[in-house]
Amino acid sequence: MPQPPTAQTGMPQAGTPAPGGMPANILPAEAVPKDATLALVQARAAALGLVLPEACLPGIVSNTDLLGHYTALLEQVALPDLCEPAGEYTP
Amino acid sequence: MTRFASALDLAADIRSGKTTALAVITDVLATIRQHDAPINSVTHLFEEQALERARQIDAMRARGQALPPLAGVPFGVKDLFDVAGHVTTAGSVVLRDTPPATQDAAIVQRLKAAGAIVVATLNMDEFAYGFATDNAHYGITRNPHDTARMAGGSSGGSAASVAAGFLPFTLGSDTNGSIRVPAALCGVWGLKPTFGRLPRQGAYPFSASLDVVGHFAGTLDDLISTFHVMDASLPVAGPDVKTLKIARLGGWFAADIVPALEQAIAHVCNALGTADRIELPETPQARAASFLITACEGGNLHLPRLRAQAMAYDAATRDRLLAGAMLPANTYIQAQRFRSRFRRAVHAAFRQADVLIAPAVACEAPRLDSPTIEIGGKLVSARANLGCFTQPISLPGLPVLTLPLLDTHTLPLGLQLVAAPGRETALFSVARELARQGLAGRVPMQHAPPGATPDT
Repeated sequence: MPQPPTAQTGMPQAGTPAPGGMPANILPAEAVPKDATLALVQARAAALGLVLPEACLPGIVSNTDLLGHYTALLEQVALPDLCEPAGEYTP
Repeated sequence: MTRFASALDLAADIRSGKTTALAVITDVLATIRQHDAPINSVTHLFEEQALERARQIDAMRARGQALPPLAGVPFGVKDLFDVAGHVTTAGSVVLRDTPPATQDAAIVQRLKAAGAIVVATLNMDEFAYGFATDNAHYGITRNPHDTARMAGGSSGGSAASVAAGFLPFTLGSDTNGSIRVPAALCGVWGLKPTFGRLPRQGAYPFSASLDVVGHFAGTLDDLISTFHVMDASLPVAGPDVKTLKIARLGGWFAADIVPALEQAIAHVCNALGTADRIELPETPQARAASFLITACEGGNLHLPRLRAQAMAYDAATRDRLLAGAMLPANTYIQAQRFRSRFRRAVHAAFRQADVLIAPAVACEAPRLDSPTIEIGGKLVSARANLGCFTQPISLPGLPVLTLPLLDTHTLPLGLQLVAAPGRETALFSVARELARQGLAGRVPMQHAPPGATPDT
């Protein structure tokens, strides 16, 4: 059995009450069907020509769910068209 | 002799002839060999090089030459800083067959030019990806105040070696809280300067958008003095603390902290004469953006090696990096656009205040055998949540001084003092005032050797 993503990753835990509260409409990472995430991981890996060792899959799936949780949280913000990325390239 | 001594005191004693650089370095090496085993903060000792450099400094003094300001002062570096002639492993076996560094990292160069002597590399989470300094290759670094507890990470070896009194100051790096979390848990001073202020050349990267190099010290004077050496700037008188507008960060930063920390923050605010609170908008999203940028950039950095040797990585690091490497471009760009938006919100906050106060970590160092903390009335993963107060502040690249609280009657607890970009001196002024009032300073170890006293 894969460990919960937070215990394994040492990174923020999705779906737990966080300081200051978390929007209720964000699906906790552990609520995402693992089969669906596994399919997503395999599709993304194929797109990159990346062969994932079998032993890595449970951890990658857990981390992908966690990242998906944070992506959903960030996608809630409607950014104006004029809001540019913060990259700092100086020619 | 040298344990818990400050950098400035050691430099003064060497300069005056009260002791020699060779005696200092010999003693530091012996102390580490004798006392580090239960803490595991050190991964490599530069014994011969350090002793040789000490002899050179003593010879300079014998010839009557002027000594640089940190002549003979020992320091250690997180195991991601280049030290000439040594392989930089970044806490991993993956890089151990790479060639040795041909030159020192930029800030190491500056410290050496000031006479300081690098004596050790220090433990870290592999490739700086974690808050626990739990390293599959080099072991876990334990908290010197209670070796059954976490030291924090990813610069845990750097914080622990200062807390244990082995070294007066050490170098670290901070992407999401990797200086601030271990500084708080180990009860030492830590500084994450403004993003981009100190040169990162020769520091192994993690997330280029967020990486900052900084340091830890046992005394505030050492923290400030060594900062100016690394910054190649002259110490200047900071602003009078009475002229500074100081406020506490509320909302996200005021929830779920332990009562002793809440009480300590109240004492600090009272001592500084402030009852003002400021809330930063969209703080959960700021944390998410910091998290995602780190995952994307770290994943991209390591993807070529992961294709070839994934199983050589620490399993936890490997799975995080692989998941991050596969995130869509849209996610990364959204996070970078949000960063621009959050920057404006933060700058608006600094029109209301000069220095903001926030907790660094919500509680004492968690136990290693029960790594949980209480949030919202529930026990949750400590490793998952140790950075919840540091990550949002990473995103805008602000300077943050981590201040160790005294007299909390607990294991170490720490605060973040946060200023507008480039205003490190405002942080120093506030920290000095709190140290002067006895509210802040290196937290003394319960079993410190005789003569070791809390200092600021």
